[in-house]
Amino acid sequence: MEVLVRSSVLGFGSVLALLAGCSSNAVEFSDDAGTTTDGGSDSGGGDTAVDTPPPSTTCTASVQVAPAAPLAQLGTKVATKVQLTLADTGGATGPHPLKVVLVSAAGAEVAKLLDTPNAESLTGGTLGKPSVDVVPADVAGLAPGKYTIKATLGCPKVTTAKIGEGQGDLHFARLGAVSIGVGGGDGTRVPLMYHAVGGTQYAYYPIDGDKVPATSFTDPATGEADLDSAPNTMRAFPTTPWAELDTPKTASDGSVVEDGVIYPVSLALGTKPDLTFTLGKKMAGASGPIAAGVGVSGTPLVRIVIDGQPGTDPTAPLADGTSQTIRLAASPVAAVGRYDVTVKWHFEAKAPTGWVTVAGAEQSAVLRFYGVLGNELGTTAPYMPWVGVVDLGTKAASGKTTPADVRAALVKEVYENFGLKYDRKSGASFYTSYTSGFAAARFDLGLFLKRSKGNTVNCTDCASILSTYSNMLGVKLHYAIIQGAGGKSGFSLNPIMGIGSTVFGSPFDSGGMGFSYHAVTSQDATKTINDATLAVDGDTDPKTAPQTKLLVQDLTGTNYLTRLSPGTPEYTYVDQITSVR
Amino acid sequence: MSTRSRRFVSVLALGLLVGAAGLLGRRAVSAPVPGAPGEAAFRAIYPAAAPVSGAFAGVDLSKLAVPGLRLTARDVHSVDEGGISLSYSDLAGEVRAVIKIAVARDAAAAHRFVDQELHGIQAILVKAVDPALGDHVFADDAGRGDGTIVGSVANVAYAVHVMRDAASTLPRAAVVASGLRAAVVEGAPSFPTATVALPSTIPLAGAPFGLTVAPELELRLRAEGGYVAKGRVLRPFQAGPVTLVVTLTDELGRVSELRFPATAK
Repeated sequence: MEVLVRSSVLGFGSVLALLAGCSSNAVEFSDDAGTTTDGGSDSGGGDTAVDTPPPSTTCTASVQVAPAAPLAQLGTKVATKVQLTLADTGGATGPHPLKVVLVSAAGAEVAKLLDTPNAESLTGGTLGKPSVDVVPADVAGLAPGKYTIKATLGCPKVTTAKIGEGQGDLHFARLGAVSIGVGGGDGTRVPLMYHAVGGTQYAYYPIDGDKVPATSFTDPATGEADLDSAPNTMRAFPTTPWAELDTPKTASDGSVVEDGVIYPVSLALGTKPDLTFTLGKKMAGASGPIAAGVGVSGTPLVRIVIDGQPGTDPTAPLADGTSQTIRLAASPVAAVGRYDVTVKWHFEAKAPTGWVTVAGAEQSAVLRFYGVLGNELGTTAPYMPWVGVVDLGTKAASGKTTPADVRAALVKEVYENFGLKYDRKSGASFYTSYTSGFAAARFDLGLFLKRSKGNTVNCTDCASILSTYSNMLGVKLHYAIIQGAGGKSGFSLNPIMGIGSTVFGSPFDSGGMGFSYHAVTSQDATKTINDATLAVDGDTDPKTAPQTKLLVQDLTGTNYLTRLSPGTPEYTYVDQITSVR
Repeated sequence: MSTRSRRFVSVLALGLLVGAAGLLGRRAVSAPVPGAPGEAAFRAIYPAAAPVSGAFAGVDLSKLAVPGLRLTARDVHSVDEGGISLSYSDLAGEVRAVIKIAVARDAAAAHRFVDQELHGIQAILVKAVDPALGDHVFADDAGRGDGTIVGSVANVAYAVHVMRDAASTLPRAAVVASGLRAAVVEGAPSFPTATVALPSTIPLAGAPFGLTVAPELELRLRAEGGYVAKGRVLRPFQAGPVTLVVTLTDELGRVSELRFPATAK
């Protein structure tokens, strides 16, 4: 049996040890008990006599035991405080011995929490309200269940002595969440997918928010507990989000690993998501996994409370393996961006006075959120937002909150920062094909992300890139085709600054100043145009030098055509959707 | 024959049957509607031409090369899905040439591929001046093919893009296209096949599938509604339809995309 004394140690002389489990008639006396002090002797010049009342010869000791919480966390090094209220209504002076023990439901003493000959020394010389600590990790053999803390307050050496006894219940359980799922809460969780499982092109993996946690412990091996890797050693949530943008984590057999990984969650701006905490089922016992003990009949109700926000009761009593869903009080995605958020939470147990914190039952986890405006693509792979696009797109449009600002940021990003250059030979598309005339553009997004065909592009590619990035951030952009009016073969150009160029002029090495067609993007069937292929002359005379570089960010359709061409080209396809693969 | 053996045979038969259905029912690129907006302008530049008769077996991929560059990426699809793309890079790793090849079943399908490519080129190409490059060929540089050539020869379509600049030592697109044309192999096209044994119903946890292909074929496996794990296990995302897609390529650039559906329960 261990002796656990966290309170101050007494400094008095010889002490008779308390008997374990002493009976109600057992009385202990201190050698120092009952001594008196003659205040008049050796007063050094003063001759005033003081009448000292005779010491009481009666001891009526009492002790009350009140654990700070009705439930303690198994395995923790953090102490649960147990408040003791000590008194002697008989008025006996002298040290009162005190002993506090932890007793199992079967009546066996499993730990000596305090054993002192002088309880007064714990609280400044008089009986008061000391506390003792219960440190579960220091008690060998503790298992989930109900225990009793028994305290015995003895008496000094007096004529009449009545010791005091008190007790309080303390339950033990292993409290811990093993996974966190994220739901849309008061807003929207936006779909996300990986596009190349294990590096295999076109092998898609949508992140199923109903099945794949946003973070979780690594699944236990056979014969291990899900909560603990060893006795008193709780597993931990991963701390670094999965860094690959094309594939989820895969095992050696190629299967996707869904546990022990922080997978990203995309949320519409302002969403306060629901976090679903799933409790573990088993803790590590001395000889193997045992039930964690949450929700067992007779044990206090428990709940999870996210730090910094008010607690809410679970919809049903929590038990091993069950879940509690809590809505975040504030949105982690106020603006477009990527946010790695550390969520901290703790467990509380229901006491008669209300919910109280369970000492040592705190956890934290990192979650990765993307803040987007929505999803303008689809919900079935591959026609849904890709992690690789959303990650880069949210960086490019970081801090933006409106569709116009996102479009403008993406035009600038694609035109200036993607490292792309126009095909000055013939203006050929390398990553997009029109599968039916100029309709039904098919964008090889997976190849583009790897730049498999290099950095050379044309307008069709740029329209695909811009619209895809924009749609995957929830900002609608479709493509439109410009051709010569009335079925003419092509149209002429004003001097333009093609992507990758630094000067105005022809986009071609040949010096040609015409396009057979041109692809742009629009959110409203060409009333407004965005184009990342080229910059136009923004001054009052776009036909001649000097030129003022103007990115094509929400220009009106008419204004754009005027700056693009000295002729009269027209929009022949106005609202076309690009598919991706 | 044991029950187990009979079950395997029936599953195999189903797989074979489905494979055939996948071949017959493959998605075709829809031809543009002649009266569709913009098609008139396109046809004004690239008039339709009657497909020529005859066919070739394919293109000997091993003979394709771009002097001064090395092959750095290869992407394979059926003709309707874009054919084969080969990317060639310089020593700095920059892609400087891209060759696309589509060995089609007939010349009409090859013309559709050419049309598709031409729809994605902003400059106006003209008929290639060298008739040896094919029967339906367009090129930049007044038809001489400096950087771009798109065309077909019977049932074989191709596109060559070479990112040359003024000081470039890279070959002209026409030179690369000539090499490609020389790699076209006489004969009738026959497309690779595979035998797949996949139950019509598979568990949510996934199911292994059997696959028999000729060893010389290049194989790519993927799935729709799920994914393919190592060990040839089809893992569905959820209950419902899941399709195993087998893409096969032979040494002559002939590509088959076979689809084998199943239901996950």
